[in-house]
Amino acid sequence: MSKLINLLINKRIEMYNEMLLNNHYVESVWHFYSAYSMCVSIVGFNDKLMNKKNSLMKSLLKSLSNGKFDFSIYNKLVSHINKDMKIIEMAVRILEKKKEDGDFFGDTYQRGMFAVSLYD
Amino acid sequence: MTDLIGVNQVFSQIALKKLAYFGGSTLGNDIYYMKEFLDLMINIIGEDKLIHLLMSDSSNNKSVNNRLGNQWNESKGIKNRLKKFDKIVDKTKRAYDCLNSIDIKKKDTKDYKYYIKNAESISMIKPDMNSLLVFIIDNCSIQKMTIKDEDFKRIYNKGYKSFGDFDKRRVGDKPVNKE
Repeated sequence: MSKLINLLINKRIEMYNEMLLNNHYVESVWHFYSAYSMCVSIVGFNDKLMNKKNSLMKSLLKSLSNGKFDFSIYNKLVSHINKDMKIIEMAVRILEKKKEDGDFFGDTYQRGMFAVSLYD
Repeated sequence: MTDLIGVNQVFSQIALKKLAYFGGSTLGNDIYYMKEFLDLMINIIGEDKLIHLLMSDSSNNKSVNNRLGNQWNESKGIKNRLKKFDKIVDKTKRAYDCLNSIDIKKKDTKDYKYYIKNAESISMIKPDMNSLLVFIIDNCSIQKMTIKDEDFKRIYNKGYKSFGDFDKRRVGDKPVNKE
């Protein structure tokens, strides 16, 4: 598993926290669930509540475009976020394990080669 | 451990920039850059090779990846879905381009509401597209590279402002005199 994916997930979580601190609630939720989507593909988890979360987000955006931010919908999404944090933890654990095993980068050279180009 | 697909230095730099903008933006604008990244990498790897790799994947997410590979050319396959996705994503990008960087902080503006309205048509969690993204990164040599911190925040901070050495103008605007 790659260093780049680890970086992307970390950045998304960082941005989620930053947006939350600056009261950009919709953006913070979007950042969280972007990280979550990547983690789902690392863990291989089948999310049955995915459609519900998507529709909650759409209704939250609808309320925002109508000029009234609906906190009840946002609170529902926050309750989902608290549960979904476990998936992110699992994905991070998988990435850390890969790092310990030395499988973080994969083979950067073709098998059978006896030298590695320093150009890369 | 599988052999990685080598990506040219120039293409890998372009791909990393797109990934940085994907990581730093939200509400559909990120999906535009994600789609651009996917299109670029599919062309670099080659469609046939990618289908073969997806079908023979044995990672934790092999059920999704194998399905994507098997149904690639079908009507409900990822190839057709990516094509249909183009129009929706273009709209959100255009809406985002109208924004001032200040609009992101002031949410009552007309442009921001238009942007939000376009974002409604995009679903927040997209497991298929994300698994394709993770799979492609995992199998290419760009996985060992890093992205600068400032690149992540470039899109968020700049908004509709001049970008690098370019003057970003709306069509019909007069050029700004720098004297």
